[in-house]
Amino acid sequence: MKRVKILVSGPFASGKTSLISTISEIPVIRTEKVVTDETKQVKYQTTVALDFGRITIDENLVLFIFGTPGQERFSYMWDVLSVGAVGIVLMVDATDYKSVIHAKRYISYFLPRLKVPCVIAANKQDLSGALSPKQIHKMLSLDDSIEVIPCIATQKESVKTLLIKMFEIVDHLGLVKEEDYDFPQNSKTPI
Amino acid sequence: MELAGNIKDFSVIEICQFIWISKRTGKLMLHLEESGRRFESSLFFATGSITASFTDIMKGKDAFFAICEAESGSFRFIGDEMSAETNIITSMDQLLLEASGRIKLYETLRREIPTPNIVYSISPDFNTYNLVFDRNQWVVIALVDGKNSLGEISKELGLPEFDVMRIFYSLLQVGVARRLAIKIPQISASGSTEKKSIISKIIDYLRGL
Repeated sequence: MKRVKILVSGPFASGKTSLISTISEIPVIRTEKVVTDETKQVKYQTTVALDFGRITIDENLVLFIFGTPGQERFSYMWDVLSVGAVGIVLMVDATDYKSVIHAKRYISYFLPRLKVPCVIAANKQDLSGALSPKQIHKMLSLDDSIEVIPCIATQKESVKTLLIKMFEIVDHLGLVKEEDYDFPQNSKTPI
Repeated sequence: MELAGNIKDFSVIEICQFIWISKRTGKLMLHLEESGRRFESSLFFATGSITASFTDIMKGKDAFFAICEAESGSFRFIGDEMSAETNIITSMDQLLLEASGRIKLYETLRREIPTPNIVYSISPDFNTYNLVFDRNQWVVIALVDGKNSLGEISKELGLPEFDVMRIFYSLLQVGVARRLAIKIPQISASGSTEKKSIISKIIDYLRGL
């Protein structure tokens, strides 16, 4: 069986867990803790190790979706989780200016290390005051090779569109060979 | 005196103990059945101690433990036959002790997991925040999808069924997994799969969701 892995990352409260929950065929395996620091005003629980979801494509192919912790003090998990991923979805809360700025750090962390396609998801587009993908693209000073895609992490159609776009880029760029997809054999990740 | 019979009358451990005490050299041939699977295996002895063990898919200690866990089958001892390969170097008393411990554990596991054809799913309210899993547990959790049976997961991972049963047992104990159904094994029709790139398959699937 081939196992393809993608990574969902992004700042705290940007909607990573929601996105995985929306698309995963299994109840998402979450490692959430009650927030005890000042960020509890934003969100009651936060991911401390990983979120894990899966989609069975057919009997020989499974897509694994890993979500990284949003709080930077759990960033030691980023390296561990990113090994073997074929693409990254970087979530930003489009209604939160700070979240967008914060995403720069994620971009500069992941892109040089992984060298796999990345799409930015401009989440919470259903809320008033959300920045448009174009505005976010400009704020992050991205080059044209990185797309910012509108997203509503709680809506299946929106998540589908986002993932299809990311896989189209993966397919188009052809950076990862098919024999590398079966990540558990090749990776040093705990999973 | 020929040493032959059925393992329902003498367990494999009892037979090994007998060969050990009588310090025999030779090969113990076994035709075994476990969870509906029939397989042939052999144990080689040198002056009572096991030097090599083989089943159709395993060798060494793993093979020996699998032989000890077989439910039914027959055995025959052929004297003076030696193995060219030595794959067990553990002392006989240690080996038998380990095997006995595993069999006891196996019986406990079997009460909870009577067949490897059981399909499990992840419990809907499961949250791992206060649990610590090791690598093998995570690998198994990743394949628990409500479709694959325990036996299929074992094959997929290339891990012995016993080890996967033990992992499932631990997951069941903490409420991570729950039993869904018992799957009747089917012979898959292969050879007609469409040749398509992996990414195209994923894209097509997502479009159809």
